[in-house]
Amino acid sequence: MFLLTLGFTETKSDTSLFIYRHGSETAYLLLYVDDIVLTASSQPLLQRIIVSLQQEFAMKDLGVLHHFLGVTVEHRPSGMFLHQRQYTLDILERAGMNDCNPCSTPVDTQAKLSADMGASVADPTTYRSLAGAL
Amino acid sequence: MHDPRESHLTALKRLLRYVRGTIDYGLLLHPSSSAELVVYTDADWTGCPDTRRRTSGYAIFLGGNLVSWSSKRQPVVSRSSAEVEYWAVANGVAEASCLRQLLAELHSPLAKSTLVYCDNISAVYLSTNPVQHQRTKYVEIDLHFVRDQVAVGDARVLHVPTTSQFADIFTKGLPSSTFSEFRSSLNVTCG
Repeated sequence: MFLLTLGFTETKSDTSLFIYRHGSETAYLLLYVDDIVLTASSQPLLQRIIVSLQQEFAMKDLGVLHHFLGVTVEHRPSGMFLHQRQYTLDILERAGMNDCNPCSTPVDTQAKLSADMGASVADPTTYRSLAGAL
Repeated sequence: MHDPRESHLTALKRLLRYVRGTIDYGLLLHPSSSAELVVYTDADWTGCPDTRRRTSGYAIFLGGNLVSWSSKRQPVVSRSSAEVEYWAVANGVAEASCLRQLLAELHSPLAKSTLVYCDNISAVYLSTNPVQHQRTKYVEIDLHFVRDQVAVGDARVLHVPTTSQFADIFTKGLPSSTFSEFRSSLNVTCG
């Protein structure tokens, strides 16, 4: 694999995580299908790795991390704020619940649902797709 | 899932209404100089009426930042509340152990033990007490795993009062004041 020729090693903890470590220089690279998140101990090292990757693959440097696996990253003075606003809006749109009354908690304090009580829902496919999306 | 009922659809809609109200919420990660893993584990003993299986959950913080969480039904039927809590502790300790391994690979090994908070006195006691009780033999594997982690100094299991048991949010329905208090303790805030 190309990353290994650059001096990266695959980690045991996560097969999509690669580490570069030479002397005091360190870089972490997360590879997920065709998405890459890369961070390094210094800007020159980061640039060097990006250039090496671009020589081998047709890829674009999207700059500071903004999106990864459906999670949006916003950089704030206090740190990083991770959210899934767009994904959430898509689910609500599909459920036709964009304008519903909001609720302060996700589940009732007394809720104990049984698998086979009451009438079956009319549209189990939509139910499954929404439950799966959450 | 194979035959959803109207009551399930009602619960799903309720959940979506919550999601609608928290659309601007997210998880805040802040720079931290502390390198300490803290785990909160909890189990809901009353559980699911059909299978009598319990729900267990954990929240794991690294230097005050929430890095891992879980809420799931336990795969086995338990016989006592201590057993249920112990299973939850073992689950949280296993995840913390993976995170320690990951941090070591990232060349940032943790010097301090993982602190595991659980609100069940028996589970805390079982983590260090080498005496094997008849009634706990069903959690033997979990018990040995946690005790090994405690013995090598990787983990310490401590008691936490229910009022500060943030992992409660992953196992049961909570009143809205407790829910929002725990939610903000998890650093889930309105952006």
